[in-house]
This record gives sequence, structure tokens and C-alpha cells, in this order.
Amino acid sequence: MKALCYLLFFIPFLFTLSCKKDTPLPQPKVNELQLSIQYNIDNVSYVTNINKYINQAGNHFSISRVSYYLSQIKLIKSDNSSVLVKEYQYVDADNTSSNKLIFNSIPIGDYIGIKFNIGLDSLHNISDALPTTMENINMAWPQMMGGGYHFLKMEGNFLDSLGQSFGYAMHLGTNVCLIPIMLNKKFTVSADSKLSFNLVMNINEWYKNPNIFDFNKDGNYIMGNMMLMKKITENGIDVFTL
Amino acid sequence: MFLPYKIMKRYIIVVFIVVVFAILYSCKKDTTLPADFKATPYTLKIPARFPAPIIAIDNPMTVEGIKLGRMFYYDPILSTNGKSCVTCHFRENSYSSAPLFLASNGAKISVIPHINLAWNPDFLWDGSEPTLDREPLADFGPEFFNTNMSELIQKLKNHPKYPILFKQAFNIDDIATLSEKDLQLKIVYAITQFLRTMISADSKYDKMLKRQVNFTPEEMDGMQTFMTERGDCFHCHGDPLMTSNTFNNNGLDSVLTGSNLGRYLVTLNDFDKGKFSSPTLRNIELTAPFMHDGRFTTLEEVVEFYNSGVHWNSPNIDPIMTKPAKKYGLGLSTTQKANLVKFLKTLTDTAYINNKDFMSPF
Repeated sequence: MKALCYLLFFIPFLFTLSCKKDTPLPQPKVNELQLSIQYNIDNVSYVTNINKYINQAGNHFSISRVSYYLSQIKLIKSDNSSVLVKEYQYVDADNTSSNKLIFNSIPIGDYIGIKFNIGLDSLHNISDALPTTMENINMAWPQMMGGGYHFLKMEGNFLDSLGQSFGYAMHLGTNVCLIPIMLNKKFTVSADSKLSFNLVMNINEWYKNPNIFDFNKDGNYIMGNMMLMKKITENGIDVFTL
Repeated sequence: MFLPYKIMKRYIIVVFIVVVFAILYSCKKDTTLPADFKATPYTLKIPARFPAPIIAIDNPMTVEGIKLGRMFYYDPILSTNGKSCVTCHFRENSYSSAPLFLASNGAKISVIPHINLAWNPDFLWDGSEPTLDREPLADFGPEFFNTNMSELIQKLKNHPKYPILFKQAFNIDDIATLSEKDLQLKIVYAITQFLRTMISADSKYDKMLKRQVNFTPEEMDGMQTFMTERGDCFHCHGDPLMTSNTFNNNGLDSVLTGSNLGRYLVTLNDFDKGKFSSPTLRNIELTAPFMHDGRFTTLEEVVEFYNSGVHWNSPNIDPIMTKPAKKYGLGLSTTQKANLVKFLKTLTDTAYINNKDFMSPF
């Protein structure tokens, strides 16, 4: 009976304790860097399936698809050491989420730029190296053609010299067509900093500097033609600005 | 020997209470399922190399839902004209149909096979239906089942099996309490759960990749044509789904009118004129006639079309069709064409069409 009295006495205290407000746990440091990939065509906004763009060769063209891989995304520190933030990333220009890259837990320090490849590095450019997602299987290159993946698929329509609409497919792949990108940008990562940069692709750069690409002369299809693929590869060096 | 009065009294009270509860319980409405019954979640067995399937959030798959869907797939109870899904989707044709479907606008349409639909992001030749879980709703219309919904509700309600199956699959106590629209949706949900189980990945091609069988030299040569620049079939029919799930104009016609406008009729974008959904080539041998309008009756005709019959001046023609050196056809030899057909036949999956889980439950 005595024990029961003690128990009844302590029950309100137990309730009081259980109602005590939780002390918030310390949040881990974020140190976040966000890259938002955006697109334009010589400063004209990017919209799919509208025939309003003109490239350096004077071709009138539309865009139905821009999808590609980025790989070995690294932040370059002021001492030229680098921090790998992402092994690879599939990007579809029409998929908002794939164009927003968020990197967390970036080491504190001063940085001088960002570098990455357009395309997959050789370790990932092997058949079945990537998870079998719907996106990856549609970028796969058959084993019989050497395996691996397309680095870039840029598709749409253009008007030929007679004004007739034809499709084009700028498909790029194979290790020799990997495009290394180095973008200078000074920034500092401090505790809990949240940085955000726009990574802008000018799609027309694929068709000009240093090689003018003309759908009417060079053709509407580059895959399997190394000379044409190299043309596009060389042009790809400066498609991005930061 | 009598018990003391007090004990006897307690005994009588207890017995009385037990009897009252027993009577009350026996009067309770007869539901064979407990109130908290939940359908059994079903996990699809995804074939090796296949990506994750597309499962609708609002229609999770359950064992009971699939069972109900399989019954509806075969049961003409949904129609007023004796039709069911298998009126147009024959097992031996990979759940497709040799006769073309005649639409109300007069267009003849090749019946799309029911195979690996869990990986399709859009449906019908022009992609006019973006969700599998809505696609069969049109089947209730006059072109297909010509369903009388109030009649159907009564038929289902009075059926010896469907009320309990609805309860098991969707926790619906009384079919008659559903609106006609909701009932249609639940029926469609059940059917599409069943459709998602219809997976084909056991063809000779799959077995060859798993090193269980060898290709003949002819089949190997056909694969070479399919998977390389020689034939360039893989861009629209790539492994492992044997479709890119894209819309393409393969140059069937130089002038596009009526239903041959394809995707354009959905988007009204000029660049979509002549584009159609590129279908999977799995079980293609069983699904003649070919193309959206069934204009080709044999695989040989299809290969010959790609080899020499493409209208390269068709508006918005896919660049794969007009790439340099291929503008006027693939230039395949007679042997290469025959071997390509032999390779296409390695995509036939007899285990799929003989799978008892997909056959009629009646």
C-alpha cells in the first residue's frame, strides 16, 4: 500500500518530465554550394521546339533535346588542390531538378574555380558502369560500338536551303571526345556558408568557336564520324560560363 | 449436490452475460475481413538490367489488386457487347492483335501489345495518354466496351466474387456507394496493376546476354546490323527495353494528313508532325501487322522499308533516317536483311506468352 502511494506521488512528476521541451541538437555544418545550370542561344532564351534560333552558319534551327553528362566535378582551391564534389551527373535541359546541383559539406577555404568534364570520365564510360535508370539506358552506347555512353545528345530540327524542315542529332561520345572545362571563379567557403552560382550554357557555342558547324554542309548527324565529333568537341570547350 | 446460492447466482449472471454477447456478436454484419484489413503489398520482380518501373503513387500494387485486375482483363462483365480486354489483346500475339482496330474516325490502328508497360512513360501511338493508370478509362466508351455503368454496378454488386475482391483490393465495402467515375477508376487501377506484372525479359536475346545460349552466326550478324551504324536500329529501340520511349518520324510518308500526323494531333506543334511512339521490339515477331497503321504485314517488309523505302523528305524526319551515306537507304545486302529479321526473332519470349499468371483466371 505504501509503495502504491509513492507511485501515485511520482506519476505527476513523470508526466511533467515527459512534457519537457526537447533541446535541439546541433545541426551539422552545411557549407553548401549550389550550381544552377541555365541555357541560352546567344542570349536568346531557351525554349524547346520553337524554330527561332540562328547559328553562326546561318542555319535556322529548333531544339527538342539537350541531355548530357558532367563528370568529375571539382572545386579548385587557391593552392590548386581540388575537392571532388560529384563523380557524375546526368543533365536534361528540360528537367528542372537535374539542372540544380547542390553540394554539401564543402571544406572551408578559398577557391579559385570549378572544373568538370562534359561527358563521362573513362572509369564511368563503360557499359553498365552507371545504374540502370531510364536516363542512363537511353544514353547507353551498344557494346558492339565499343560500349559506354553518349556524352551529349542535342537534337532538333533545322531548315535546309530550300526551307524544308529536317531533324538533326548531335550525338557525342567515346573517351577521346571528353571535354574538360575549367571555369575561373574566386569564392570563399566559410562555416555555414550557402553559395549559389549560375552555370550558363550558350548552345550556339557548340556551332562556332573555333569551328563553324553548318547543318547544310557538315550534315545533321555526327555520330560515327570522328572528324565531325572532334569539331563539336573542340567547340564544347567554351559552351559554359560561370 | 447443490452449489451454494451465492456462487450459483454469480454463475448464472456470468452465463447470462456470455450468452447476451454471443447473441449480439452473431447478429453483427457478416464481413469476412477484419476492419483493419490491408491489401498485401506486391513488389515487382525487376529483370536484371531493367531500370526502375514507373509505379503510380496513387495506385500501389497489391496481390489482391492484381488478382482483381486479372479477372477484369478477361471478364466481359465490363461491357454490354461481350467484349473484354482480350477481345483485342490476344495472348499468342503478345497480347496484341492481328486485326487492326477501326477507330470511330475511320482510322485503322495497329493494336499496341501489352508487354513491359510498367516502363512506358506515355501510351498510345501518339502519346495522348501520359499515365497507364488512366489509359484504359477510354475502354468504357462506345468504341470499346460500351459500358452501361448503372447496369455494371448492379452486376458487380450481385456477383458472387467481385464484392469481396473489391473489399480485399481497395477496402470498399459496398461497390454501389462509389460514383460511376470512382468505380471506373478502381476497375482501371486493378487492370493496370495486373498489366504492370506482365513483364517480358526471357527471350533468346536475354539468354544470350546471360550466356545461357549462343546466337547463330546469322543472328549475330543481324545483331551487328541492329546495334551499329550499319542499321542504327538501337537509337530508337535500345537495350534493354528495346525502345527509347521517344516519338520519332521514321519517314513512312512524304505527305502527312489525318491520323498520320501522329504526335502533332496531341501537341499541335509543327515539329511533331509525323512522329509516333517508338514501340518496344520485344516479341515483335508476334505483333504483326507493323507500324501505327499496320501497313506492313511481315518483318521482311519492315526491314525493306528501312533499307530502301524511307521517305527522306518527310517533314521532321528523324535524323537517324537521313544521316550522311544513309539518306537513300541502309544499303543492306539480301543476307544482311535476312539476318536482321533473324535477330529480331530472338526477341521473342515464349515464356511470356505461356506464363500462366497472365492467362485467364476463369
